[in-house]
Amino acid sequence: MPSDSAKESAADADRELVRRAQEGDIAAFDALVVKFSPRLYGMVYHMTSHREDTNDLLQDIFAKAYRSLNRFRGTSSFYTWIYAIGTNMTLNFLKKRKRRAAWSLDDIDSGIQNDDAMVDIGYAANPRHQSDVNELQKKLNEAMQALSDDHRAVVTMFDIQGIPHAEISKILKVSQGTIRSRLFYAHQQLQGHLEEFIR
Amino acid sequence: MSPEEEQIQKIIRLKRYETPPEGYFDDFLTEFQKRRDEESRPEAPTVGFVGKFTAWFRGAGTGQFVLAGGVAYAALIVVVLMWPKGPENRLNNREPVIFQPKPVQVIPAPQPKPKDPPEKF
Repeated sequence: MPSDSAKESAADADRELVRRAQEGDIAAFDALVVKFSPRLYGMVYHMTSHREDTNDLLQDIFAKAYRSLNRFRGTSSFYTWIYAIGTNMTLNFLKKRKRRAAWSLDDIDSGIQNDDAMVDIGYAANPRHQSDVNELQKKLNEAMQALSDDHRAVVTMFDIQGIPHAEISKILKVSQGTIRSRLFYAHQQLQGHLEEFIR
Repeated sequence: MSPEEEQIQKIIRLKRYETPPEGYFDDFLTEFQKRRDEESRPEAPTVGFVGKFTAWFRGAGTGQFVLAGGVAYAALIVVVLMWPKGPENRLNNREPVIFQPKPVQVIPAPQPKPKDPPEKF
């Protein structure tokens, strides 16, 4: 976990890049794309469970951010600002999208085998572990897609991406109390779908 | 947080291992730069009106089509109402139109004046 001073210098670096990008330095904006695209990809992908939709949406998100850059006043961090743009566009997209018959999922990194959760649910010891990992991925995505878009958003941001409640509250423009109650409800729903993995 | 909730969180966090293929983000940046260059290119003058016209239709939502349809319909009604009517007795008079030649007025030819007898010298 980065220290406060590391976070502060990262924020300063972002501010400098934004300032240069607002003055027309496109290389500075490209640096922001490189820095934030992995995080934003994760948010969009976990919301849509579809990599092609994720790619298209992510392009649109950065295009919108680029066009709107002069409206960014610096009252929040650039990360919060662009994340809010990304979340709103993703939620709007999901409202319009019909439920897909098939997902298009990213592959699972081999590092998953060493995760504590895999040990807990006994998958690491299973000789058929690759097919079980695929089965687990399928079940996880089913469980996530069964949530409403708003509940999936808070689970994505808090549980998967580790964003604090206060930050999620600024991004979604709802109170922290609302964030906590959505998380509680979402966890109840997920327990129902994933009970076979809970010991 | 209950042990079950903690367990659920751990399981959900496994989704962090779902990642795009290597090189994806380099390609992503290239694609973004290409798109940005295309969008910032100025329009050719010849494309101007035609381009804007087709772009309007491409981007037209249902509302714009309804509006355009309404304007076209209103224009059609005005044309129908203002169209010059045919012969006035065609619609209002139920009697058949019978052609009758106009009576010809006979004008008698002027009578020649009697000639004066020749003078006798």
